[in-house]
Amino acid sequence: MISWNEYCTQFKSDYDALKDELLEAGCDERGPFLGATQSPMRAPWTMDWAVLFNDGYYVRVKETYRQLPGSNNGERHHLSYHYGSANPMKDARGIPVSRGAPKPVLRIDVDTHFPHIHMNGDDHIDQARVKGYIIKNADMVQFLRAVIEHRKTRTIPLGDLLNISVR
Amino acid sequence: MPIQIRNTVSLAEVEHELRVFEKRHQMSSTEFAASTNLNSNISEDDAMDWHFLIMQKQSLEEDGCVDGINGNAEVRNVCTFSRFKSTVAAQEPHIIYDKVAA
Repeated sequence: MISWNEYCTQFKSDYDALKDELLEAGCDERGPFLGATQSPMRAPWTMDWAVLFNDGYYVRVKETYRQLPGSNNGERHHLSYHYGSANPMKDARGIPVSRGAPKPVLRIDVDTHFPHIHMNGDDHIDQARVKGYIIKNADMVQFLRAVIEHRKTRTIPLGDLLNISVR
Repeated sequence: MPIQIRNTVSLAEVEHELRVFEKRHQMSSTEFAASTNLNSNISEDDAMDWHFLIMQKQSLEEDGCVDGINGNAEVRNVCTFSRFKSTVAAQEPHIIYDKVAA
């Protein structure tokens, strides 16, 4: 459980810690977009942030928080952390649309379905097939640090950097 | 790009966003609700966005929020935007606060 102000403070801290390495020269950053509900700002809220690199790849992190009963605070409800080739088709904010997009290098989803990942061309891999990584506990900073490291080395698979193995 | 924060001010705004969203996808709320399965043509991102708008709509409806004024007097007294603006926003000039005023 977290308040909107706590979330914003934590997000800004994370953003400041990541931006210098994540925002490569020539990249196109979209967001971060944070949206809350009035009163004046409370749950449900959403976060959406994409970085388009100049080699055609992009990373997008997206989270929604739902309101807890009788409280203005929120708890993480849905998330999507995506890294892969960018769809040339963009939405109104310039973020590549995922519908019809190339299969991601790695996408972690806790959404309207069960928690799952997309990796190595395999879709909707559920927790039972994933070792070394708890999908529902996915961490944005850990994911983005892994993307940074993956892009630096160009050799270590992103899944390996997150200790993900699929059986 | 600075962090951009947007505050939804009213139930009417959320309902408008839902209508625009559903029109763009040429689907009704009922169809959206029935189509958020793995074999759907709806992308996982779109399903997540739609679900968020529904959550926001339900939350505002429960508060009795109309046109940016919260029906809950206790909340209204404690959390006026001017108070928020004078505290949080003043401390964070690097953040763009969008659509914050009712």
